[in-house]
Amino acid sequence: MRFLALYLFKRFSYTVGVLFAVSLIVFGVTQAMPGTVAHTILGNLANEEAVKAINEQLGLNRPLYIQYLDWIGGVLTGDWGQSFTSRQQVSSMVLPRLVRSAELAVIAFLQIGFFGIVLGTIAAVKRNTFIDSLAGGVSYIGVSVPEFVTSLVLIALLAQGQWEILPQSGYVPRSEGFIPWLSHLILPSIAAALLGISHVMRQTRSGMVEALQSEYVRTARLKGMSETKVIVKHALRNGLLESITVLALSMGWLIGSLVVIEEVFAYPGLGRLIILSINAQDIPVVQIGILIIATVYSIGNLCADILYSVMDPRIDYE
Amino acid sequence: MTTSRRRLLKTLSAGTLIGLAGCNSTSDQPADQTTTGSTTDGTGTNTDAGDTQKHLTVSTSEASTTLHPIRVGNSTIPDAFVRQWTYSKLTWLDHNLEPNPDLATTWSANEDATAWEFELRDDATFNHDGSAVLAEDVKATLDTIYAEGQQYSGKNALGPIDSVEIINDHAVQINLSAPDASLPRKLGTPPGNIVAKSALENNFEELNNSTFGSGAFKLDEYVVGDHTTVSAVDDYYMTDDAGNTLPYLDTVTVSTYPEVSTEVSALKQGTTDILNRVDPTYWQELKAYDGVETQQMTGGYYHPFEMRVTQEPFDDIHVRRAVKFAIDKEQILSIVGNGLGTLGQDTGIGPAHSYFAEIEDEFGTTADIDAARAELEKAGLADGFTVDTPIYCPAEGTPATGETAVLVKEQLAQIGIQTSIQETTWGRFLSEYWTDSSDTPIVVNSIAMRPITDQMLYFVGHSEGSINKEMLPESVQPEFDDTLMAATSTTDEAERQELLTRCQEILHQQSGYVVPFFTARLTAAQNRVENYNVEPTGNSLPIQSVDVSSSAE
Repeated sequence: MRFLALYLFKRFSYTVGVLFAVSLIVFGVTQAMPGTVAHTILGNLANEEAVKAINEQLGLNRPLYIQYLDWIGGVLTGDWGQSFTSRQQVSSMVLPRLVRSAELAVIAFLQIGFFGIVLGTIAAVKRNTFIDSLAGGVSYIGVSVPEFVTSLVLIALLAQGQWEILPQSGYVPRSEGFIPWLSHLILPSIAAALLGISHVMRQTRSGMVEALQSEYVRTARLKGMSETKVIVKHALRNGLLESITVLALSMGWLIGSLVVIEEVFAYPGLGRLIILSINAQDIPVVQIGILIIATVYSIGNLCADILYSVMDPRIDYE
Repeated sequence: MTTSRRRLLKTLSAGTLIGLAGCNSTSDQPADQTTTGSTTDGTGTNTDAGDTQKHLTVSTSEASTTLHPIRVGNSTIPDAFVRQWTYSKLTWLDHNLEPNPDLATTWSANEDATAWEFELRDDATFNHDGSAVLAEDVKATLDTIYAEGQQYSGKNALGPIDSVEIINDHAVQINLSAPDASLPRKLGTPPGNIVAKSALENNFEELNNSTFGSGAFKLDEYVVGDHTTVSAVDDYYMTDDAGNTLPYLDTVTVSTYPEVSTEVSALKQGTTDILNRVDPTYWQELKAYDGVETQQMTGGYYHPFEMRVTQEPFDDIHVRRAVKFAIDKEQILSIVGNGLGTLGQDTGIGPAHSYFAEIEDEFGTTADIDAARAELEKAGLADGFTVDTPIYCPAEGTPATGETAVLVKEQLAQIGIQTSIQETTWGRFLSEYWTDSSDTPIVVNSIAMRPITDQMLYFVGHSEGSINKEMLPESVQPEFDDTLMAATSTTDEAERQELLTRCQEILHQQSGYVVPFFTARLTAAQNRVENYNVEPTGNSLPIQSVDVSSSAE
């Protein structure tokens, strides 16, 4: 247990270090972004004097290291600053959108988990049959087709024309009804989940094939256990080891891929806000938004590492 | 698996479940919803206030950035709409761009139009605190816009205002540094929002995300980049012809749809009621769609190809003339505008403007390659030339500029002018490639219509004009400036037309400006929307008399 704790502490420290490095990169990249927010605010009236005045007002004329320390100090103490363009508190802009993106990500994640594992298991059990080939084909399409294409196809099929069964855009808060809320999440979550389902399905199939060919499964069959019990009680537990880690990693992918999906579905999430803020040179919002995505990704990786190390008794922490 | 690992797994699983449960139990209402204004179920009907509430949703592809009524420099359409609905001006422009009384009930000028007196209504109140709108608020607003050292777009747009005098609580006199016969019209344009004096003094930065106006609506919810909702005030001062209090609507939402196809679907599904600017590629589809009414009129929005006349070789009039001969405007209109629009005359003034003049167009609307080559020969460049810097265009925000650039590039290649294209974002375009000191001889830009002819000509051609990036040579700039100022000063309509026509001729003949076409003003609305009168700029939507038929949906 001591070694496990030490191992977890090391992984956590590594994650913190990664996030610190990410903060430096994010800060550096946003400073290097061409153009200035002053031009966004002033438009075509941006002469040198006016730009200078705006930069001074926003503190952009200070040395970079001061700006960074000021910013990172604020991030750690919960003061995320103000948007340069709307002057709203960044936290009040980002947090609600993060919640909405998280709602979308969770629904997509549940789909990835359920369909990825179920379809991967079926493909493994029906290995080398038509069903296996079909599953393989679908997974190739899932990893090959970009999300914006998937999104537009889903809209065309299920939200337009004769089959207008789902809303094609927007968001309704849960307080306005569970069904309206969920119905607005279905199409974007499917678009977000397809890639993850494909990855998890392939990983699950691979793991299950190996598990189903193992000695202990053969022993279980010889003992007279039903095939269902063999699959669920023995093969699945071991076959899912790597799928679980892929699942954990998919949380990070999801938050990142939502950028495109939120644009297509006009979903008011964090991804859309980041795009808008990049176009408007709204640096405080861009910095926080990207840092949040990086944090989710890092946490996903950390969870994957922890889960794998805990679930696989063959791993020696020493 | 050892016992400790099993225990750890159970602990982690339990912790995750508790965490998820905790997230789910937090407020459903995101923190950026600042009021209890209700949302709709997509039918336009307020879902929790009974059948009598009237709601309208307007869609746009642009995202809101700020509601500031003074800093309107780079305003987007949703911001412009919300300001129009929540603030009042001294006058308001109807769909014919004519000024109507708003906060000012009457106005008059002295003989040479250098001083204007405005009588203010006595029943207008600010929505945030119920205080009366007084002359001091008008003075404070205009003083703020024209403050020394500040560079607000109102300074250019509202005219040569020198000072504002308070005559009494409900009367002001606006003194001008030069005669301006169209001041009442200019005060009805977007920068003319009248803001509470107390807000200007104490809440200047809050104006970015709150409203302190006396308009027909007050701000309910402002979600930057997504949607804004306003609700009608109870004591608005305007009435209709029958004496009924305006507005008819109870709530209005302007929503952003970044993806055009999604925006069109939203209108067809009834999620939105008005699609402010229809993309030409979806025009026929919407025209044929039952339940949606489309409107088309001449617009004033355009994508000019600009040549800086101070940079070689475009400083040579013959090179500019060669380019103008070579550019096939009809082809550009057909491809970029889908054939919907009006051909331009290289002036920035289109048929939608009141003083538009059909001037003699020696360059024609199709390419005249022989004439173009003859001009190049006069310039000593018979074999053509290569432009070292590309055609910059903000195509990442406005794809039509990229499409125009591609066509212009190919058309110029026919006379031996070789160039390339560099697409960029609006931010970078404004900050690097389209500044007063940029070393970029050619760009394709995107210019919104200003409703007043002399105002538009000022922006485009005057030496102090904010859009004039070295478009006129020094040899004609003084003539243009003087002619425009004379036109602005005169109250004689015939003289004004003559002078403004001359300005248009100078731009057509001498400038580095090529305006292929003006986009048609295309809009669509649900059949249930009533009194939706379209105006040509696309940046204005007078909402006070718009109505929706009762919700039987």
